[in-house]
Amino acid sequence: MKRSSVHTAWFAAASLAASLVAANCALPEAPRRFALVYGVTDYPGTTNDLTYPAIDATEMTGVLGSSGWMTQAKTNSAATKAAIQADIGALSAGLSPDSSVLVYFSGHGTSSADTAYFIPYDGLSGTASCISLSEIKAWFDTLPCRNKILILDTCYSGGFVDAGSAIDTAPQAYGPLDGGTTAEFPSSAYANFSRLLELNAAAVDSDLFVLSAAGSRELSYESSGFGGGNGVFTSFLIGAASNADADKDKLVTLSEAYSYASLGVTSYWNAQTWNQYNGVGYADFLPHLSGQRRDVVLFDRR
Amino acid sequence: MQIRNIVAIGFLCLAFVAAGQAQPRFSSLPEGFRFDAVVSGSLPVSFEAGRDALPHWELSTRIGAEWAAKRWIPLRFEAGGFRVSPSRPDASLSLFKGFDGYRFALLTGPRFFPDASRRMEIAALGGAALSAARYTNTTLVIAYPSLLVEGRFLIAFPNSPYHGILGVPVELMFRGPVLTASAGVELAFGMSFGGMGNRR
Repeated sequence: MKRSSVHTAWFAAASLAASLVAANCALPEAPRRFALVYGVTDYPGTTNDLTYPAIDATEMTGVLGSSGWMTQAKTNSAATKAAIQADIGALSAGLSPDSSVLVYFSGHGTSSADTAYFIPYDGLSGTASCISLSEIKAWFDTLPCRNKILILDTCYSGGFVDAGSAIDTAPQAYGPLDGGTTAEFPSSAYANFSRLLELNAAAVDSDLFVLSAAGSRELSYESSGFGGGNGVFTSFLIGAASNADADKDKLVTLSEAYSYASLGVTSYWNAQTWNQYNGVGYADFLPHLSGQRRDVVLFDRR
Repeated sequence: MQIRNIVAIGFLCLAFVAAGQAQPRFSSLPEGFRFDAVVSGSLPVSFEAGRDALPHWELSTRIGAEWAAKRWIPLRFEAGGFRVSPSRPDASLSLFKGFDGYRFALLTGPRFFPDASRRMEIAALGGAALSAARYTNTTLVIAYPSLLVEGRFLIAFPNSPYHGILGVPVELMFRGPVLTASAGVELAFGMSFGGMGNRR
């Protein structure tokens, strides 16, 4: 073989190897992640106004925006039921199966006939103007992506959380004000083994992840003492972006954020004296997380 | 939890050594009761229809008790704790939650002796387990059944009631619509109480 042919062969082989290496090392396209963030401080009239939900929404928008999400925020009169439905529907065209959609809402919630609702700006006229789990799930179902996340900082928001094939050992009515019960240790839940196996056998995975501030029979609170003035749960959720990476992989998953927020609410709200009357924490509450096998990255800090 | 369990297994092995001083000494693997303490590491992979298979890692500690008959292990009971890490995320940044909990298993299978002195034993065990676990970082508790297959190599320590085990455990966990298959390596330290033959 001529020397030039050898060089050509070497060059071709080197080029092929280089392109294979380049193809294998190329970073995959970052998944498209969309976050719709709502906060209603100023409801129509003055009697139902809150103090911090619009601030919650602004701060959540900031932390989600710096964690890989494309964000859109609406506060107060812009956060109507129709706007929320339209915003979710409008995302549909730009989504692939690997996309993620997150809806965050801070404001009032209510419960009627064992159904929980969150209350958009125009939702004070009755449950038909509020948003229930079945309604928002139907809106999410129109989206072609697999990862759908709902985060609620409202009273009674645990009613949106389906424990799936798991048993949630955090009671839905924890605080004494709610006629609550104490947290059940996982070991005692293991005693209910046959029920757990039944749930496993009947399991159907939902692609909707729900993280709630409170149980289905609990109130959630806001306070000037948390963050710069936030919903208590939201202040810890925002803190989770920087502090909840338990396995140090620079990815904070929904369950890591839940764990951090839950510990924060328990330690810095439920256990504090300002929350107690005659030694009883009258305004205790616990966050809840839906119980499917899947988890999803909430804050990408890479 | 696993660090505590590994320390507990360490103390259990020391207890075996102490208890073994009063036991008959063997030059081979005898028939009869025997106990062991196991530490194992595995690589589980979770599968779900229409999604990528995603790997985890698992660390588990167990204690086992079994009856060894002439060429058969009619019954082995295992109880232990395990921790399965969250899986690697897929392209959409979705992953399987980690889970940690407790497992109870029953196994059975044949045993063979590759050498005439019966100092070494190869066993092939199969069985089933029930596990109860909590998704890591959550308050959610689950339970699931699993199938087990295990290849084991045992070697008796001379003139003692002790033996060592090197095993390859394989588990198929039926977690509702998700299947998790795991294979790993286990190391165990055990003690035979004997009962029939081979005593010196």
